[in-house]
Amino acid sequence: MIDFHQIFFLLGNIEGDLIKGLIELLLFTFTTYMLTSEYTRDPRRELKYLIAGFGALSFEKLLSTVVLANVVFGDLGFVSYKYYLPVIDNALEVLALILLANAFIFPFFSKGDKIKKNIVYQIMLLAGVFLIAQSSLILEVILWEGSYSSYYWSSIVFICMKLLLIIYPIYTIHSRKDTPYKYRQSIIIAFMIYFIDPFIKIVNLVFFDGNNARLFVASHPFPFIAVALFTRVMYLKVADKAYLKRELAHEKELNEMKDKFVSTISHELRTPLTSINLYTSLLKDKKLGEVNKKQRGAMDTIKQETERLKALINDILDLSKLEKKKELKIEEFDLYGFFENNACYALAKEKRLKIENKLKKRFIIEVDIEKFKQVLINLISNAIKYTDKGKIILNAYKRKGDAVISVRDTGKGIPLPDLKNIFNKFYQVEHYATRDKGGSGLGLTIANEIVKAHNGRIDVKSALGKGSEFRVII
Amino acid sequence: MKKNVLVIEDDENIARAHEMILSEDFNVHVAEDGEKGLAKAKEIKPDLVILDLMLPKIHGIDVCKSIKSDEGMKNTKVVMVTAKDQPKDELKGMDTGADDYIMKPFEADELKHVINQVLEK
Repeated sequence: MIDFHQIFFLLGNIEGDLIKGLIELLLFTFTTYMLTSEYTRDPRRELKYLIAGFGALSFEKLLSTVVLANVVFGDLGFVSYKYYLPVIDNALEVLALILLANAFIFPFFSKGDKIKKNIVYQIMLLAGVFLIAQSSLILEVILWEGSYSSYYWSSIVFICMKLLLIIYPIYTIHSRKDTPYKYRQSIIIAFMIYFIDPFIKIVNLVFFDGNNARLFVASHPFPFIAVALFTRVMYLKVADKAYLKRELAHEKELNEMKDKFVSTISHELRTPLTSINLYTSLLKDKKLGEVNKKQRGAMDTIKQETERLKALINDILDLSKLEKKKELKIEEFDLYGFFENNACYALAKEKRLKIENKLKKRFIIEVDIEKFKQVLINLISNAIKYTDKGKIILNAYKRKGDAVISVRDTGKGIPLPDLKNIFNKFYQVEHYATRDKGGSGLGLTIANEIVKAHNGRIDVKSALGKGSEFRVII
Repeated sequence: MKKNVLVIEDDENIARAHEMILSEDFNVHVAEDGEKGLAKAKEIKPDLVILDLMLPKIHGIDVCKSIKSDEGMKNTKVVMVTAKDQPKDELKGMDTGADDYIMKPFEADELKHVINQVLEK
């Protein structure tokens, strides 16, 4: 049977305080140590403040346990304990709270400098209060033995500061709901629990002159529990980072494996293709004997199909590189120049189609030029492919802060049910016997991926028999 | 006098095709890997080497560098055969010393064109 009276007695006296102090000292020192080793791996600013905060708490506990030990085991009188400790103790705790409260709301401010300023102002205020309180306490002791009124009011001031310093982060974290903050709930709860101790102390001071023993004892465990909760969150964050690091390393490994696989495959595929090409050329050039018209026709077909395969291999390679999310090299690109002259004009000429450039002057966009050219070439060559007569119209304009690049054709158009699928891999509109049109079916997919990587999108409007318009919006 | 062309290529079919395409205009020699290729080059000191990038025993790039740094082969030109995943710019940047590049899969005409261009320089 636990003797509550014993425990209560222990908690309420100096020996109990000493034991409690030692345990707290251990916990705070451990947390400071954990934060410091995390800081060596990842020197984040907020960690600096956290380390300083827990360091201050550890120091405060060290001071008070040393003095308490001297009172219990040594010859330091109980009275002297009251001289040295109360103001310094409280001030150190407030200092620690200044650092911790600001450290925890660090993620909510885009510029760390504002926080730094806050901390400086708060510390200056604290220093002022501390100096006044400590000097008046010393004066009191020297001039008016037995009067501790300055201890009384300075305690109230310090406790009010503590309360404010606890409410401030609770309010900030709670009100900025749109900022992502893992462990939001845990931190708020930890602060709320930390709140209980100063709150009870101030009730004790104001209503009972600080003499209510039950209240005095009841408030003890809460700071300890709060710090344990904070330490738990610190630990979880560290564990999260380790997990993330492992995940990234794993992903990197997978990407490397995929790259190696793709380049091996593409090499393996290209070699036989080269063979086919070379031997077909040899046959066609009559190097291996006479050829008749039918044979020549067959070899043309072989050549066409190998071209198709070649394009497919290149497209797959491009797509796999895109999926790896290579970084974009953003530069200025003048659309006017490109619209006036590009590889697609030759294609259009073959089909006797006209390409109309609606731009009259420079139109600059900021994109990865190589990749974006590919998008445009894919769209324009698609337009040419699916248009038998008429023209392709190229245009670009600004609308609501976005740049819109439009490729319009007067071709067959895309049936409504197919519209949502055209960006899928290998999708080709079946109805119009497009098999003979060739193509890998990846052109639009690649274009879409590139535009998405630029944080843009491709819109398509089409009507059967009237033509289609593809709009790139970035 | 027909010029000497050395083809260093590990695929038998392609090597043979090279022979058939080029033997009209050149004396064609063939080697099937980097080591044999380098030895053959030192032996016959060809006017032009057609070098595949992916070679067994010694990598194409190293063979190219060896040939280019060899005193006895000062006049030997090298054409490297690449694939799209090793873009020209990347290879040029690697300072291989090759005189030109041709990308797989290529046509017979393309091959002859590049060879003639390089030899004329």
